[in-house]
Amino acid sequence: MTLIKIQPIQGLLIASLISFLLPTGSNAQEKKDAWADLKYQSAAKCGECHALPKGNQLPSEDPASKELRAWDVVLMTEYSIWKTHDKHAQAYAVLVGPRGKRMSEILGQDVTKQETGCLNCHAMGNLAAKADLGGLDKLDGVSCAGCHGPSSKWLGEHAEFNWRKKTAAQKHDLGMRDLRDPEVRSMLCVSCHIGNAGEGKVVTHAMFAAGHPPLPPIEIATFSKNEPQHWRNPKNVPYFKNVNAEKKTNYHLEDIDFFRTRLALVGALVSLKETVKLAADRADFANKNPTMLWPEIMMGANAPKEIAQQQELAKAAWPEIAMAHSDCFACHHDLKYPGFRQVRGYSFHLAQRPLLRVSPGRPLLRSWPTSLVEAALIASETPIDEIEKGLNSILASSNERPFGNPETIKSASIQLSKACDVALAKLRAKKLDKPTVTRTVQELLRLYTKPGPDGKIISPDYESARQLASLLEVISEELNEGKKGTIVPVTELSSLLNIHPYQNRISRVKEVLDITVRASRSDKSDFKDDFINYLTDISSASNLVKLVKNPNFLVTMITLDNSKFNSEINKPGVIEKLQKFDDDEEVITLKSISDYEPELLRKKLVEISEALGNKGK
Amino acid sequence: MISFLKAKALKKFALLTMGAMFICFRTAPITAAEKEPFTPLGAPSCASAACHNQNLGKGIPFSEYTTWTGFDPHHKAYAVLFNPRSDRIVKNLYNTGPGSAGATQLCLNCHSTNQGKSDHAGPGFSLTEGVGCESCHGASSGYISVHFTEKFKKLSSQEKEKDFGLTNTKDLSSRNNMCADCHVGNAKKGMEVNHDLIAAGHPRLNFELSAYSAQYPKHWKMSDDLKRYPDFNAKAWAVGQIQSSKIALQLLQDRTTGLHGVDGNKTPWPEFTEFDCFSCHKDLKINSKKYQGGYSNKPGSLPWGGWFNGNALKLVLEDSKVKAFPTEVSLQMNQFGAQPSKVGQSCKKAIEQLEIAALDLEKSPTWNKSQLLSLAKKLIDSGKTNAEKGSWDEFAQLYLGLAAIHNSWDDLDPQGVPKDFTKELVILRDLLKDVFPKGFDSPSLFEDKFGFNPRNEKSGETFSSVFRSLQIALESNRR
Repeated sequence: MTLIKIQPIQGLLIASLISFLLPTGSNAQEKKDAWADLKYQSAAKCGECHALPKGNQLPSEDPASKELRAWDVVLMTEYSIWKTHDKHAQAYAVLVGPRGKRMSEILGQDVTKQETGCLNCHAMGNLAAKADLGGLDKLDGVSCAGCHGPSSKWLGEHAEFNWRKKTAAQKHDLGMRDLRDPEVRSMLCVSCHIGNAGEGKVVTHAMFAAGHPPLPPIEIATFSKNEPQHWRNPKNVPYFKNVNAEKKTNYHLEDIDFFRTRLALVGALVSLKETVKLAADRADFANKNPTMLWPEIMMGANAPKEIAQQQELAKAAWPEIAMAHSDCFACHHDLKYPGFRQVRGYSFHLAQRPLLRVSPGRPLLRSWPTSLVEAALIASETPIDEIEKGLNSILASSNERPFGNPETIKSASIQLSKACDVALAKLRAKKLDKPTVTRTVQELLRLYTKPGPDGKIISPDYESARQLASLLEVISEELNEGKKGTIVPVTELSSLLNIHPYQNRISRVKEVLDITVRASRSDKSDFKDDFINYLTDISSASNLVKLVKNPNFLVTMITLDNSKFNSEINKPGVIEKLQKFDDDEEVITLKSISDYEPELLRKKLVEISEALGNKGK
Repeated sequence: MISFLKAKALKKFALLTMGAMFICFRTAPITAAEKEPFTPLGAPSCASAACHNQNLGKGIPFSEYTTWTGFDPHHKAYAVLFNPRSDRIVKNLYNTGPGSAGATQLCLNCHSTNQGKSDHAGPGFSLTEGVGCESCHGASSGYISVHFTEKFKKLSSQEKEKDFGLTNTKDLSSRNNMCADCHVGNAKKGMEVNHDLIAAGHPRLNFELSAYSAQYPKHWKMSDDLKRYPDFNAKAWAVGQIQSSKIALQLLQDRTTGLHGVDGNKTPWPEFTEFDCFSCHKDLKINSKKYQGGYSNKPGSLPWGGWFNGNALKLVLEDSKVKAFPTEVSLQMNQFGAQPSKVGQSCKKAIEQLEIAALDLEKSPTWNKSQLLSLAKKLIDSGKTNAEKGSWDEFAQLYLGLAAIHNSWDDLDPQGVPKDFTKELVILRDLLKDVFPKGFDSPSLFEDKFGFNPRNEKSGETFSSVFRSLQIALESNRR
């Protein structure tokens, strides 16, 4: 094991200028193909170093020391946090467990088999073919390589001093994904959490009916925070304290004060783009890869065998295919009288921009991805017209027949995608500073609390409201940074809409830590409190030092037997407990959705607007 | 309320008046006063004081008009088009302003007489009458001047309809289908409540002849119905099941052609009203009882035919000579990717069979008590079997069937119905109602009523327990 000693480095102005000219992210898709020859590796490889820092990887005890330590750049506990606290590490276990078994029963197919498509999201099955010998371990679920990229060319090098000199683009070429680029990160998260037909990542309506939980709306900044983070916000990274031009470009530190706001806004445009792309991709009935595209029609013994027949069936079963990307709660709600939907009318909802009305009762694409687009446009000073035209094209297609006309949805998707790309480019060029963010939030609140030209105030659905609350929380935290107290109505709105639905998180970690100990060669779990304490603030050096003092934690993590870990998780008595943590959280989420009324949101927005206005004075 | 004696006296007077009118017209030949197409003359033409407007009280002969104006909601069918709910519906559908429902053809097709067409109508005709006399009885130009004559009265209901335009409201099938135009739907006449319209705010349709007949503020005597059909309630239910299924399939067939549909648009396909409303329209729950019970069709598919083509229909058709249950349609509609044209062909076949089955049943001898009880047993058994996986629509149809049988049983043998049977039916009815909490249009508590609770427990009734108790109550009669 190499102990890394990193020295402060001088910025190379020329290198940074060059990298500034390089496109970052907008053509991430093409660049990915450059990874064709690279190999993915298992989490255990990463865990060799990233379980716990040791020696001079640890923070320096001398505050005056200028020696750069690994901890100054990264946490070195990433593996441990992921393995015990992040549910991605149990993404495969859940397929083997009772929920997966029940789904297999209902679907009539084994969800742990590659051909059903589940593994693509739950164990990076789409990458498995490229795994190194003994490489990816499906027992890891969604592990390091899934997000950070294939490490065959950088595993050794990235621990070296010179790695810091490389630009993000250079690292990408070697196979390390530039996750600090908001667009790259957003694309990656939504590939599973919205879906990506090309990668075979699709949750079908049949899967939902069989027991897959609903995919919640995602706002990338909050979603990243809730993963939970195994990295620090840039402001808390010692290495980023003195930002020079080189670091700025290599680590995306352009607007460090509002990087979370940027994540949320970029994520909004990417989510919209990918939502319509998923629909359009699956409407391509000439596609030669039905297994990846339409898992719902490949179910059962009677599924057609010939590609031509499969394409034919996909075309006929378009309503079923389309249900996967339609707004779940547009149909799935108890009918209340008087309900807000009939009063509100039917369409996508942009504040103060009356869009094309669709026939009532027609399923629409999920509307939450449209909800933060206005904020992104305001911030980047992009006119709304092209996005509006794109949305209207989608709406027109949705109006042509229930579930939309698959023929016209493709062209509408391309149109909207282009409009999103223009906005993304403008957002990339725009510096997010206090005046811009303040202007954005005030304008957004004005749009949401005042009637539009049709005399109506926007009535977003629950999921859109949740997105809005998420953004408001992110913005208010960043605007308020360093000041005491929070903006009360923002916090109230977050709790009203349950935007952090992880009530059982700590109980879950405790349970998983016990499992970890049982699956390791250690039998002592006396580090549990120290680790949980560490999780409350991963930026705290003292918390870390406390954790490191107890050797049992490291022994547990490095002697962990992965298959034992997985079998321990799925042991009777354990899995039920873990499942119940999830279920109880989901019950609260679903209740928040049932109880939601746009009127409640509106009231809080007015309060937030007033609170922010007063702050400005 | 008018007293019986007074009513009787006035009735005599009415008969005298009618007699006088008869004398005036007795030389008239019994042919339709006008040739087809017959034109509507408007409710006022029926409402002369000497005829149907004697105002003797609800349901009393010659007080048909006043019963209708005073008690029958059809009278307000046009007026409701101007209320806020209607405003919202047309706003959602067409983005039109308040008050425009009254000028919207789709609405007028059912909410006025003569589908809202004032041309080729008599001077007395007005849209404002709502669903007036001629909506059900037919445009009156052909029969108004002859329908009180003895010769006319001797004609069969079929002849009256065919030659004079007086709709046959006497035979069960014919009556059912007359109601069904609006209450089930008739795409050819533009009478259709589809999912677009429901989402815009219109209530869903769930017609059932026996219950509608029982609740309808009748402007005729129930005893007349019982004279024609001593087993009226049960028979109307059974024939109505078949005929309404047929009309619903006719609507489905029309929907598959893409020619009909709301507002001249292409018919939406799939049309969601074909499917069980509450399969989709429910708040999602973790590990719901439905989920635990599993699905009989592909997971996530839309279950077809809950109201008009469910188990109740299946049971009614069990003894039929023809195999009329639309199995093929059901198989097709319960899977995605059904070709509309093929569904249409299957509908066509099923419609023919259902028509035969309905007319056979209608002509069959009056049901005796043992026949009624054996049908009741079938319905209860079906409820018991599906008590933990059925749908609200399914149980509601079973209830309506059992209630109809109960009422016929009571008509045939007034002392014979066990009190417990009545009591249990009321419990079932209340259970079906109580699963809709206040402010809800969907049975959000429905699945909470699955499972079996022994009686006298505080946890309350469940469908299992009530169907079991119904069975015991029914069997107690046999002992």
